[in-house]
Formats: sequence, C-alpha cells, structure tokens
Amino acid sequence: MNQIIACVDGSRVNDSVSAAAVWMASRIHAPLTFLHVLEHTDSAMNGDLSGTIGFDAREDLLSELIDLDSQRAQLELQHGKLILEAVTRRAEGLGLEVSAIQRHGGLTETLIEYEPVARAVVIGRRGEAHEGFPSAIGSHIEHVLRTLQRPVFVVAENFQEPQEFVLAFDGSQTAKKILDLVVRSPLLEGLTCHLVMIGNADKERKASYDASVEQLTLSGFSIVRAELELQGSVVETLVDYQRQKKIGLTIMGAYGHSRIRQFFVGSQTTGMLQRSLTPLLLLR
Amino acid sequence: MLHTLHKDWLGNVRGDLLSGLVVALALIPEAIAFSIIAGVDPKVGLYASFSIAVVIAVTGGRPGMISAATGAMALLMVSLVKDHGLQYLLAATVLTGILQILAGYLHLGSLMRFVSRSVVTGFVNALAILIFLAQLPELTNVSWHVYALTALGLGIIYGFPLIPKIGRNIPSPLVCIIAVTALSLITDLDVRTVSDLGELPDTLPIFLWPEVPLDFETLKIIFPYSLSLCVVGLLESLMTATIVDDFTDTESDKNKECRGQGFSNVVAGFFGGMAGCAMIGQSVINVKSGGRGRLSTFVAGLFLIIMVVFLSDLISVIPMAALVAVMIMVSIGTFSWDSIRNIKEHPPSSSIVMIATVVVVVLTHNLAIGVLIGVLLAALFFANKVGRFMLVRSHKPDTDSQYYEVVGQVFFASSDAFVRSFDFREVNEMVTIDLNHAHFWDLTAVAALDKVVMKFRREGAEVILVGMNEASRTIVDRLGVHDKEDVSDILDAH
Repeated sequence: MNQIIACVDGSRVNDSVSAAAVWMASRIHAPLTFLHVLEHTDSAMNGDLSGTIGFDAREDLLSELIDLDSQRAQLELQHGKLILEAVTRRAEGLGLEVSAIQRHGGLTETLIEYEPVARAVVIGRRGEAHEGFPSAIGSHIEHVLRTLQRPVFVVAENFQEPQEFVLAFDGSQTAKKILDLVVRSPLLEGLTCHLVMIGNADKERKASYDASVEQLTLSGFSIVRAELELQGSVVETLVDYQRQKKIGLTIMGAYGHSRIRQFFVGSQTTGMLQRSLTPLLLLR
Repeated sequence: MLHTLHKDWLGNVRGDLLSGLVVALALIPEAIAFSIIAGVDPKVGLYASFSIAVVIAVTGGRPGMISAATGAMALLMVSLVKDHGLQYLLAATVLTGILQILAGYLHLGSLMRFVSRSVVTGFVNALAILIFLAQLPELTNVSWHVYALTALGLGIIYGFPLIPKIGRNIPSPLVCIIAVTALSLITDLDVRTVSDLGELPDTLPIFLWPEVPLDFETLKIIFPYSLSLCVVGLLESLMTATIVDDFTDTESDKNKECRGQGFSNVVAGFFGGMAGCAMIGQSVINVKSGGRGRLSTFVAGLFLIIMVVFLSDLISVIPMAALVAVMIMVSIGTFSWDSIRNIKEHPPSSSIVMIATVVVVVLTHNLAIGVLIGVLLAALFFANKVGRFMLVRSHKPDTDSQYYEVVGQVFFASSDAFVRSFDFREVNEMVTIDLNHAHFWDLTAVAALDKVVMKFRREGAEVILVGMNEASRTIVDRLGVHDKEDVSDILDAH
C-alpha cells in the first residue's frame, strides 16, 4: 500500500496528471504506477435501420459486432500503450521508480482492485469524454471518490507544483482527522498552509481552530490564518479566497455526508470539483 | 447504482430512440399476427406489447432486449381462448406473471444451465417453424392475389435494403406494408385485411380486473396454462438475454429478468393484454439498428401505442398478405440455418437432441414439452458418455489372489459394466479391490459394489476393499462436496 496510482487517458489533462503524480511520488518517495483503463463502451453501430433479419441474422450480426469491437479495441490498445510509454519515460527520466499497467474494465472497478497497493490516486478533473465543457466534471470522478478509501488528487490542466495550500476547516471530527493526515505526511512539508474557516464561529469551534493552528505550527508549517466571512456559499467563499491569493492546492474531506443529504443540501465536494480550477486533494 | 441507471437509460439516447422506432414499426404487424394465432382481437396483442415493453424496460435485467406479445406464448393459449374465452386468458396472464416473479425470487433462472446449446438451437428452430406454420392458414384456399401480394411483400422486405442510402434508413417491413396496402387499395382487390380479424384499439389501455370467478374452479382451468406460459416465457427470455449478452459483450441479471417478465405480464393481464416474453427476432433487430439501453425498449412500446391508437383506421385496411410476408421474414431470421449446415460436423448426440426438440415442439405446439424432452435426452447422452470413463484393471500378485484396480466414474449408467469387469469364475482365496482412483456417485454404484463383494465371497474368496472412503466421498448428496473447499482435491486426486 505504498504506490501512487495515476490514471491517464488521451485527454488534455494527461500532462497535468503525470506532472502531479511525479510531484507526489518524488515528495513522498513512493513508487509510481501509471494506469490506463480500456473501458468497454457500448458503441452503437451507425445505422442499419432497415429492420430486416435475413438468413443467419444472429450469427451475422454477432460476427459483425465482434469485428467492430476488435478493431476499436486494437486501436485503443495501441493508443493507450503510446500514452503509457510517453508518461513512463518522462517519469523515469526524473529518477523515479515507475511502472505502467493497462487493464480492461471500468475505471472504478479497476481502481478498487488496486486499492490495497495504492497510497493515493491521481486523476484528471475530466477525461476524453468531456473536453470542451468547462464546468463539467468527469463521469467517473464522483463514483471513484465515493468508492475509494484512499486520498484522491484531482487535477485540472496546467498543473504547477504548489508552494502554498488551502486547508478547509469546519471544526468537525473529519476536519481533525484530515489535519492529522496532513501533519503526518511528508507530502506537504515546507509548504505554507492557509487554514481557512468560514462563517461565524462559536467558542468551541474557535478553540479547536486555535488548537489546530498550534498543531500545524508545532509540526513546522508556516501558517496563514484565514477566518473568512461567508459570501454566498461556502464553496464560493473558498474558491474566491484561493483565487485572490493564487494558491495552487486545496485540501478537504470528500463526501462526508450521505447521498440523501446531498440530494437535498447539495454536496460541497461536487461544488468544489465544479468551481475550482486548481488541484484538489480529497481525503476520506 | 445511479451510475448504471444513468448508463442503462441515457447511455445511448440517439441510437435507442431510432432503434426503438424501428422496433415499434416491426412490432405492430407481429403483435397483430400473434393475436390472430391466439384467436383474440388484434388489440389484445397490441395492448400486451405496449404494456410488456414499457414495464420490462424498467424492471428487466437485460437492457436492450425487446419483450412483447410473442408467437411462442400465443401458441400455448389457443385452446384456453377457444374453450373459455378472453377473460380467462387475462386471468391466466396475471397468474403467469405471479409464477414468474416467484421463479425470479427463487433464483430458478440458474436452472438454465441445464439447458444445453443443442436444446437452445432446437428451441429457436422450432419457434421459427411454428411462426411459419401459423401463417399457412392465411395462404391456403385463397385466390392467387394473396400469393402475388405475399411474394411482392417478401421481395420488398429483402430487396429494399439493397438500395443504397435510403435502403438502410427506412425499415423495409414498413415499406412492404405500405406498398402492399396501397396496391390492394388501388386495384380494389378482394383479400382479407386486418379489420376482418377483430377489433383494433382506439383508446389507450385501461385497468380492468379480469371478469372471472375467483374460485378454485378457475384456478384449475388456468393453472396448467399459466405454468407452461411461465416456463416458455422464461426460457425464451433467458435465451434471448444470453443472445443479447453475446451481441453487446455485457452481462445481464437473469433472476432480475425473470422477475421483470413476471411484473410485465401481471401488468399486461390487468390492461387487457395477453402474456408475452422476450422476442429473439425483435431483439436482433433492435441491436442491429443501434439499440443498447433500456430506453430503446421503452420507446418501442410507447411509439407502438401512439401509432396504433392514432392510425387504427389505416392499420385496419392492411391486407393479411403483407403481415404474412413480415412474419415469414421473422421466421427466416429466427431459424438457425447454421445448425443445419453444421449437422455433419457436430456430434450425432447433439444433433439428435436438437432434432428431437424441434420434432416434439412441432408435434405438440408446446415449446415447454420440447425443451423438457431435449434436456432429458441431453442428460441421458451425457450420462452415457461419462459412464464410459470407467475401467477395471487387474493383475495377479500370486496364484491364490487377485488384485483389481477400479478407475473412473461408477454410477447408474456404468454400474453394469462395472460388475461385468470382474471375473468370478477364477478361483482365488484373496481378492483385493482398489477403489482409490474410482468415484462412486450414487446408490446404484454402491449396490453394484456390494454385489461384486457378495459374489466373490460366495465363491469362497476373502475380499479386501482399499480406498473405499475416498471413492465414496463423491456421493455428493450425502456429503455435499460441491460446497466444500476441498472439492477440487477430491476430483484431482484421481
């Protein structure tokens, strides 16, 4: 359980994913694995709407479908190999321990298979299917985030190594656990931490905020206190702050609430995924 | 879960909408034709096809498969309709659905693994033959006009798709129906039309409780019908599901499909429709036209009812010859011609199973009986083959004793050969039977061994059995090895 798994496909976010994965792997000295999943898509054939079935209709249709699938699969396989080769070579040039895996199946199912050996997963904000839709998030992201119990690093295009990071703090148990993870990990050593608390805090929450600041300072982080007024929604406030200060990384807990609550209240995580254009490190 | 739900319904919207439309157009003549087979008004089949398609789209376990009123089911209800009328058919349909839901919850779908490939092929071929035979009444004792129209219809169905571009974008059975209808209207031919066969729907289906007395008498009448409808419906549905699985290289939930078929039949029964199931031909058309998701099935049902309700005047003047042409196409497309071509290469036992299934179905007009015979025959052939995997080796360590080693499968089919392998005439003081490499599968095998031991003792020999425990471990019923972890050890040991 020590590998960084980076999910690559043929999309524009690919370079970002590999850069982010390289950054992570070199900071925590973990082996890096690039994963390319060949998903089975039901690609409908382009239109035989004749509605006839002739002699050996079933056999003919089956062999036709198999031919189509095999052609497409071979192309995708070659394409995937090239992608993997490119990112692997680059990472190896930086002296990292790199491997590449190509698998058939769904992305989430494949990640579940590799979860036991994974320390963290790096994934693009959106993949091949959604290029050109600025606010769309990838079809897999939410599913992956809800299923995996490992940290997931979601990156957009143009990843740059962060010097500072925003840590969203709401005084909950989850927030404290995340704080512990941050303090223990070598990933963020030496980065400036903006500990953000939004809205008017009661005494208790204030106290736990102060305690957290102290904990981080003791661990050697330089801290920027950011107690913000709520402007619009929590997500908006957080994104605004981060944009103003040009901070390149946000850390938060993912999907802490049930699906039912999400249906009525909406999810902060989904909101952040849609709004934020900077990398998000989501912890479970 | 939401993920799959989204994919099943909206994963392929354009393809599903187009193919749903094509399927709806193809379903109308079939639903009418199958109502005629069953001896009910066309509206019964049309309402059934609408209800079943729409409900199964939601509840089924195989996205992209088309279910509606079918010929296989229609053939089973002929005598029920003739003797007791439509209301009993509706009640039987509801009961069929309930039985299918039960079968789904009892996971009877997994019994499909006992239905061998030859039986499936036999079923499909028999179905094609039955659909074809059902068209013959429309083609006997009629004027030459009917033959001419049917031939023209078939010509259009197979010829039209050869035209570049439009040939592949307009369903040729629809072109056939329009052309043949137009021709018969223009020339004012005196041929049978759909309106001669009963009522067409002019409203949407409404909920109706079947007008039958709710007593034991009714149950006694409808239960046998419901049972065969249930069996045939599930068989055809699960077979079709496997076919669609193969086409799309995806898995389906067979037990969910059983339950879904049940729900759709219950709904069909209450909305004035006859029992139905999955359709092989229509599912092939759906996949071929680009349909993959649940939306295609749903849209097919919806388009069907819209077209039928608003165009019932036009439908009523369609000559039967046009429908016959469409049904002949369906039967040709359903038949597995490959199975005839390959009959020489396949092992004779498989061909016998296939042909027996076809013959029994065609004679009884009941697919359930045919499949039962096919499955039994296949099991017997299998037992016979496995029974040959038994061998008794012997050698003589010294003059007064004999050593037998039994290798292979000992059960009812091989127990006679087992007993015959021993030489009881030979004079021995000591006989050793080594069973370490044998499997004793049932009581017949144990009884045969007892017999052998007794015979030797009567001849005055002392008998030693070696490895009896190992051999009898495979009496699965008692020890239940199939669910123990060391099952592979037991079987590999030999």
